[in-house]
Formats: sequence, structure tokens, C-alpha cells
Amino acid sequence: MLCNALVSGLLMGGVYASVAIGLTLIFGVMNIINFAHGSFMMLGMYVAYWLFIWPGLPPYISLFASFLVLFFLGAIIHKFIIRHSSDGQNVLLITLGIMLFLDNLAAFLWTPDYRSIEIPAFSKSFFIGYLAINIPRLIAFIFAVLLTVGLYIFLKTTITGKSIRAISDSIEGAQSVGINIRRISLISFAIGAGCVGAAGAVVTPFHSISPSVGLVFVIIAFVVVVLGGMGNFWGTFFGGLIVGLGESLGAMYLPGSLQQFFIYFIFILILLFRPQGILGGKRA
Amino acid sequence: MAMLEVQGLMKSFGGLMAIHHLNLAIEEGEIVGLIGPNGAGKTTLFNLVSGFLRPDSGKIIFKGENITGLKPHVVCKKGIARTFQIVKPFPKLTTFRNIRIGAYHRSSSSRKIIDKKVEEILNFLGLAEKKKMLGSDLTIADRKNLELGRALATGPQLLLLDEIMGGLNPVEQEKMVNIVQRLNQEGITLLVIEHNMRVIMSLSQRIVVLNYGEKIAEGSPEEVARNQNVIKVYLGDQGNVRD
Amino acid sequence: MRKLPLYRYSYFFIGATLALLSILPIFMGSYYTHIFILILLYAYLGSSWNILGGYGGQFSFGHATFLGLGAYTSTILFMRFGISPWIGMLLGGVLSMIVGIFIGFICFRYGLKGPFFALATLAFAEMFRVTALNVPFTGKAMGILITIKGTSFPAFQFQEKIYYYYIILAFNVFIVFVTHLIEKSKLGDYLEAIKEDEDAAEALGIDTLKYKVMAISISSFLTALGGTFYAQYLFYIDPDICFGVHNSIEIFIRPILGGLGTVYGPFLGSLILGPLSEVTRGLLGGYSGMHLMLFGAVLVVVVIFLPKGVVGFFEKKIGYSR
Repeated sequence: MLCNALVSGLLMGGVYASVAIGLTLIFGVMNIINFAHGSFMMLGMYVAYWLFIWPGLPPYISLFASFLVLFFLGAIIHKFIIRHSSDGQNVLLITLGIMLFLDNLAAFLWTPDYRSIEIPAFSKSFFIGYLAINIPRLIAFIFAVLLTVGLYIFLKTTITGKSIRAISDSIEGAQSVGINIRRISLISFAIGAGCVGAAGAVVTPFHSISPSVGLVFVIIAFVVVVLGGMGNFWGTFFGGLIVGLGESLGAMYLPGSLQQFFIYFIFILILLFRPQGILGGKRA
Repeated sequence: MAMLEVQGLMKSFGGLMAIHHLNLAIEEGEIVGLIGPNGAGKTTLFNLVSGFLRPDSGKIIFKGENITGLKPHVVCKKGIARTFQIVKPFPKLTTFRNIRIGAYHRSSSSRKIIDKKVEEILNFLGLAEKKKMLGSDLTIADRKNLELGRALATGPQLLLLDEIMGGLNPVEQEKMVNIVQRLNQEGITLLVIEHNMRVIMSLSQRIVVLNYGEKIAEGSPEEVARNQNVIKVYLGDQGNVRD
Repeated sequence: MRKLPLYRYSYFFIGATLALLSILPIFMGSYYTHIFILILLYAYLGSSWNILGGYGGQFSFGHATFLGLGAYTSTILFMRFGISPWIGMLLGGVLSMIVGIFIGFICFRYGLKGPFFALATLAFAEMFRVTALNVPFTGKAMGILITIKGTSFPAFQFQEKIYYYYIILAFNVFIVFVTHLIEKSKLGDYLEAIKEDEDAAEALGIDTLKYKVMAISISSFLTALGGTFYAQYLFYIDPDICFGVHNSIEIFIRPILGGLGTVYGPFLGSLILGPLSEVTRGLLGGYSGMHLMLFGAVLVVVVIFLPKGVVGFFEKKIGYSR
């Protein structure tokens, strides 16, 4: 029982990590508190859903489409809206507004009903001893690892990636070496949006799809990012695992939905007493 | 007993030692100048004395009372006021309201008395006509005066001025020097950071020189000007001073 | 900027509006009275939020905490112990104030500012929501129904809406008065100073922690009073409608639109958003959260183009400086 809870907690933690990775890029690197992050994920889920219903594409292929759609949507939102914000508090309000707009637009277009994708080949679990490992969740976990590694490499080796890191370190410094702040900010935001859109697609085989999903995931994403350390990718990954485990164990040992209480509690504790997160990143 | 005593003060940031074993005493009624190259620790000292930073070790004693580590607003209430090197006017408030904010706590008395005090300060600093202008609309000279006026409104016995001459033209500087001297005549003790040598030499009764967080010289302006260490610090090792 | 003799005109406008609002319900049917009650309720709640958010400059995304505490306190005291909701309202206010002081103190003491303060308050509200959802004392997910006793002033319930209307109108007059007092007082000046430059304020002898906590304590107390009204009007409370994040959004969006840190901003914001929400709901029908889409758009537009809100926009046009 406990082992299964641990395993499913870890796997779910991977999911949370993949959702949060995009946010740590946006939040940790660019100091944009993106409340619309969950909405991006939600839209990514719907992209995968519609591509499954009509052309019958499995979500593991349409995740690329989700990435692209959200990449462009993110770019447009950044270019026309976010760029005009003056400080952190304003950005928060703007992204909150975007979240409200997108979530309710989705509800209007596609109704608040829950939908799901069923792929018989992928819904099974395989067993190691009496440990049940759910396949789609395992795939999501692997995706999270690949995404984290991929982004890490991207940031370390490519010019764009290095520019992003430069800006994160010091805007003036980056400017003085000729980095186009606007362009790179736009690209970071778009990549972050794309990543979480793809994460949404990956999650569809085992998570139901609805406009309200965004709010749930954005809050978790914030907790994970702050927990792991803003801007710290491995921190975000392990932060996701911790939250996943915490939630799983909490659900097992605590009555009702009280494990949520503890997630918020930990979040506040970190904000107050260790704003740089467990693994150390930018201070919140 | 000195008005302000700094004993064995130490402060480092990361690996950088900003203040290194600093001892300093300021007597009541003095005007003491604080000079040194950029990065010598002058503003850091102000931040430590006024409570914006906590020292790693050492003591700060004001009128016999240990004020080390007290929060800035407490230090202000004890009688120390400071200005900031980069002025911080309240941009959306009028000049009048800016100064009034400083005046509140020292008299629990009525609005009328407080407002009168603010008018006095405005007149003293030549800001009377600008009293309805917003902080963000003032010229740099007026902002410096405003910064000073706000600090004065708190009724300090010790005033820390951080480069109050910065950005002022010679005429404005002249006026400011007069104001500072008059403040001193009225009984306020002053510790003044300044880069303008002419000003600081004529204004101060005593000068303290910092370099890399340490006191390297102390004495009257003439003594300090002749001090070999000071000359070396400002002009490099070549030694000869050309006029 | 020329300063016009605004004050003489503004007293006239305010008086006229109040008079108009006072006689309105006589002509309105039940539906429109209901609309106006909600407009006035959220104007009141927004004004309470405004003391911390607009005047204090600390945006709370979790004011539903205080609304909920007020609502649950008076309701539980009434349904389980037979205590009049009026008394319950005051007790709820006190409880809410204590919680507000606690939240404010630890957040401000540990340097949470701006967006991080907002997120922390949101987390607190969610903690209360989840607790109320899981604890039998608060009725869990089922919430608490208030038994209908017919029109009874001591029981703070009425069969005709018009009574509620005048009560919430009185609440609004009260809070306009309180806000005005604060604005002109030392507290108002200090909060403004803290908002504009906290370091400069500290250097001038202002205990910034104390005054920020003072702002949140006043704000939380007043918000809770509105929570009791909310409960007594709806006759039903549950964790979602009390502590839910949507409620927090409804509360702060009015002052943001109307004008942060102004006396009439929240009222104006509510006057605009109230009817707009109703219209949006009617037009796009079906799903009940439609007006939130409007709110989203409003937030984006206001933050970018109207940072001082509607009041600020007009003040600029007529050349008024505060």
C-alpha cells in the first residue's frame, strides 16, 4: 500500500515538475509571475484532445502541436500584453486577467464538462512484484525528465539559452553585451508556455480535461517553483517530486482533502523562511 | 561622553569586508566630514548607524545608549536623521506633505502646530513657493533641500548627510553650505559625506578619512590634507601633488 | 496643473447620488433591488480591501479569508448557539481582525511584498477553504443553511429585499466615512509614504511594520462585517462561496477598476462591473462564470491603460492633484 502510494506520488510528482518547469523559466528567469500558466496547460490539453478526436493522433505526437500552439500564443500574449506591464504586481494582475479570460473563454467554447481521452494500449499498468506502475504516468514522468534535461542543455549550450541566463543574472549586464532583451524575453515566455502546453498533452491519457484544470495546476506549479528555488531547474524537478510525494502520502494518511492544506502551508513556510527554496535559487 | 561612538565596527558582504574594525567618535556640536574614495564604506557606515544594516560585530552608541541593530525608525526616534545619496522624495506627495510626514512623530500635538513647523522648515530652506509641487516635479536642488527638510522635520540631534552637494551647481552649493552651517549653529551635530573637497574642507571642523572600510586618517582639514596616506589614496603612489 | 474648486461640486454630486440611491428601491422591482444589493455589497467589500490594497499598497489576493470568517462566525453562532447575527457580526469582525493581524504580521515581518504577499494571502485563503471543507464543525462541503424565520431584525433576516438594501447602503455610507477619515489622518499619510518609499519612510521614524499591520487589521475587521451580511442575505454558506478565490477576485477587482486608494473608487468600480456582469451573464448565457471573462479583460485593460482606475482617469482630465 505504502509503496504504491510512494510510486504514484513520485510519478505524479514528475507531472508536477513538467508543469512547473515552464514556469520556473518564466518566473525564475524573467521574474514574471504567470498566473495564466495553468491556462496554457489547459489549452495544450484541449489541443491534444481535439487532435485525438478528429485525426486520431495520440497525445504523444500531438504534444508537439500543443507546444507550437502555446509557443505562438505565449509569444502573442507577451508581445501585446505583458510587455506593457511595469512591475511585478502589475504583471500578476495582468496574468490573472489573462487566466480568467482564457479559462472562461474555454468554458464558453467547449462547456465546463469534463472530457477524457481513452487509449486502451496505454491505460494499463505493469507490475513489478506487487508495485503497480501506471504506464501513461510513467511516460509523463519520463517526459518530465527529458524536458528538464532538455531545457537545462538548451540553457547551457545554445546562444539563446545563454542569453536567457544572462538576463536572469543581470539585465544591465546583458544589455551591455548587446543582448536584445525584448526578443529574448519574448522567446523565454513563449518557450515556457510551449513547455507547459506540451505537458498538458502528455497528461491527457490519465487526467480529465476541463477549463477548471488550469487553476488547480497553476497553484501547484507555483508551490513547486518556490519550493525548489526560482530559476533552479533541478530544484523545480525535485520540488515537483516532493509535492507529488507529499500529496500522495497526505491523501493516504490524512482525512478528506486535508493534504491540500499542507501543500499551502509548506508554500507559506518557504515564502517566509526560505524564499530561495530548498535547493537555492532566486529569492522570492 | 561623545554624542556618537562607533566601537570596533565590522561589516562584510559575502567575502567583501566593507567596514573593518572601525572606531569613531563624534562630539556634540561638531561638523565632521567623512571622506574617502568610492567604495570606502562611507554610505555603509551611515546605513549601519541609522539601522538599515546590522553590523557583524561592534557597537554603536548614541548619547550613551547602545543603538546597535535597532530598526531605522527607532534610531530616528532616538534623534538621528539621515539623507540618502540618491534622493528619495515621495514622488506623488506635495513638498508640504513630504516634510509633514517627518514632522508627525515628534510632536503629538495638533495638526496646526505640526503644519506651522513644516512652514518654518519650508521657509528656512527656500521651498515655500514650491510647497504645493509634487515630489516628482522638483529640480535636483529642490529635491536635495526636500530631503534635508524631511530629515529636519524629525527633530534630530545628529544629522547624517550623504553627499548632499551631489548634482548642485556652485551657487546652490554655496547656499547649501550656509544652510548646513546655520543648522550647526542651532545645535545640530553633523556627519557629512562629501566628495567635493573644497566644500568639505571649508565646512568641517574635523575630517575622518576611510579607505577599504578602515579609518586611515583623522584630524583637522589641514592635517588631513597634508597626511601622506590620504594623499596616496587619492592620487596614487606618485606622491607629488600638483596644483 | 490648475486646481479647480472641485470640492464644492463633489459634495453636491455625492449628496445627489446618495439621495438617488436612497429612493431608488421604491421604484425598483425585486430583481433590480437584488442587483443593487450586490453592487453595494461588493462596493463595501472592495472599500474594505482598499484600505489595505489601495491606501496601504499591499495587494491581498485572499480577502475571501475575512469574508468567510465573518460569514461562518456569525452563522455558526446563530444556528448553533442562538446568538443574534448582529453580535455574531462583531465577533466575526474581531476574529477576522486577529487572523488579519497574524497574517499581516508574519508576512510583513518576513519581508513579503507585492506579488509574493499576494500569493501568500491566496494560500491562506485556500487553507481556510480546505479546512472548512473537511471539518465537521463548519459543515464540510455541505455548508450551513440558515433557517428562515421570516422578517426579524434581531435575527438579521428579512423577507423583503428592501431592508437588505438599506442596510448595505448604510454600510457603504459608513465605510466611505471611515475611508475618508483614514485618508486625511496621520495613518493615511504614513501609509502613502510607506507605499511610495518604504526605506525613506523608515528613516523618518515610521514603524512601517506597525502601520501595515494596522491597515490589514482595519481592513480585515470591516471585510468580515460584510461577510455576515453576505451570509444573512444568501441564507446559505459553504467553503467555496465564502473562501473561494473567485470571491477574492470579485472583491479586489472593483477598487482596481474604480481607483486604488480613493474613497469612491471601489463604489464606482462596482457600479460599472455590477451591471456589466449581469449583461454578460445574460448575453452569453449558460455557464455561470461568463462575467469572469469580462473581468479578465477588464483587469488587463485597466492595469495597462488606466493604472489609476476610473477615478484617477477623471482626476487627470480635470487637472486635479491630490
